[in-house]
Amino acid sequence: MSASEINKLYLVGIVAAFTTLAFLGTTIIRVPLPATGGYFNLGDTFVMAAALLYGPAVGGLVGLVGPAVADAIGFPQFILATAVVKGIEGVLLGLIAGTRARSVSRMVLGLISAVIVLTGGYFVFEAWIYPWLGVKIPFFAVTDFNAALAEIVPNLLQGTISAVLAFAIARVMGKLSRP
Amino acid sequence: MKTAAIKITGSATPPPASGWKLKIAVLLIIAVPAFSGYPLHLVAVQVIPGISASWCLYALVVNLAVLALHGCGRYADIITLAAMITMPVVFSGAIVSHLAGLTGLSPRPPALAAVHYIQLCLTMLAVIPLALGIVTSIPFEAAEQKLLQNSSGVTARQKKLLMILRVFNHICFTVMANLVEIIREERNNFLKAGNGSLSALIGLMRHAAVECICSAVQFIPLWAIEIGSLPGPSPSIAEPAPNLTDQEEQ
Repeated sequence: MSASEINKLYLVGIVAAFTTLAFLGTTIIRVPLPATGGYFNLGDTFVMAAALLYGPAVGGLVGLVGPAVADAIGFPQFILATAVVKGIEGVLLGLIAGTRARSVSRMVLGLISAVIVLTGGYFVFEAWIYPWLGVKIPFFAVTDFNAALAEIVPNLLQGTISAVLAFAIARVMGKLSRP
Repeated sequence: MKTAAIKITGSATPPPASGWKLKIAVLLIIAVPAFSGYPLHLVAVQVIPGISASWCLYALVVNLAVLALHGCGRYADIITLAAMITMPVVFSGAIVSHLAGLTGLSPRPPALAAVHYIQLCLTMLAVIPLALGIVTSIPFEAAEQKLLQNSSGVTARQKKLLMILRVFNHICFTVMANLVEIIREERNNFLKAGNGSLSALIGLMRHAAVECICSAVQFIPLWAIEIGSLPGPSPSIAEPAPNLTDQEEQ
């Protein structure tokens, strides 16, 4: 039994835990958005918290899998957008915030970037990519430019609330983990 | 041979492992129309204007199949959970859409919004029991025990799978059950304090989330050591060693 094997297993456990939490956070708290048929949720809190606490690889994996699996329950057309947007969100936040010697300013900058990625990413998917895919595959024909515009504010709100919560969680857990 | 079938936590009752592959296969076949739309879109009959009879029938078939495959007790759990997820989504969505329609914020008239949410309710009451039926068919506990009791050793990949199964089981069956209690307690404190400000609400949510994360990850270091110390595969089935050159062998 080597230390690296234990470390790998530990990271696998952490990814599994945050992925399950992101899945549950996305599934349990859902407020539908009439414009696009999408929904508001707080699963991002766990994606952002994972990225802040454990870095870009864990944040990216959690963002890629957890919320996308939740979308499979009831909203399968959004799986693609969710996996891509939230995966990038987790990686970017982890990269900007850094895993060692996190400063508050870097965390805040990372969280602002994550909220921009979340809002902008969904806008790009719903305004251009989904309508383009929808021409070939009717399954994706669920949004258009106007619907994407209408979803900017709810997404911004969702991202901001999740970012505030993730920041608070990271601060508390950072203090807890100090000797 | 080291036996390592020690369970640190896990109060969940293992689901019956018999015929689980067949159950999943049946449910996956039933799931095809939900994702492809075929042949549901071929039926033009409408129960009420805008609501297809085919989706009503499909939701009924799905629920009957889950009931037949899982039995009354488990189906009751599944449909309760499905209703708990569906109802807030449908009702809050319908209310928001209705108000948006009345105030002119949404171009869609309230009647159309109502049809949309009835259809969404039907879809969710078909898809959620189906998804939960598939997930609950997988005997996670039995799979974990099988891996732990594997006499020929546990490969690195199986150890990772074991860790994922254990974390998933722990969160779904222990953390979530405890979280309900935590939220109830925190909510009482929140109400007693009489402070209804946004910061107090965020504090409440933060506390619940931190409790949730802490209880979700608390055993992971211990499990990593425990699972890491499981014996590896015996040489006969071990993964082939990298080719060594004569010099390296010497």
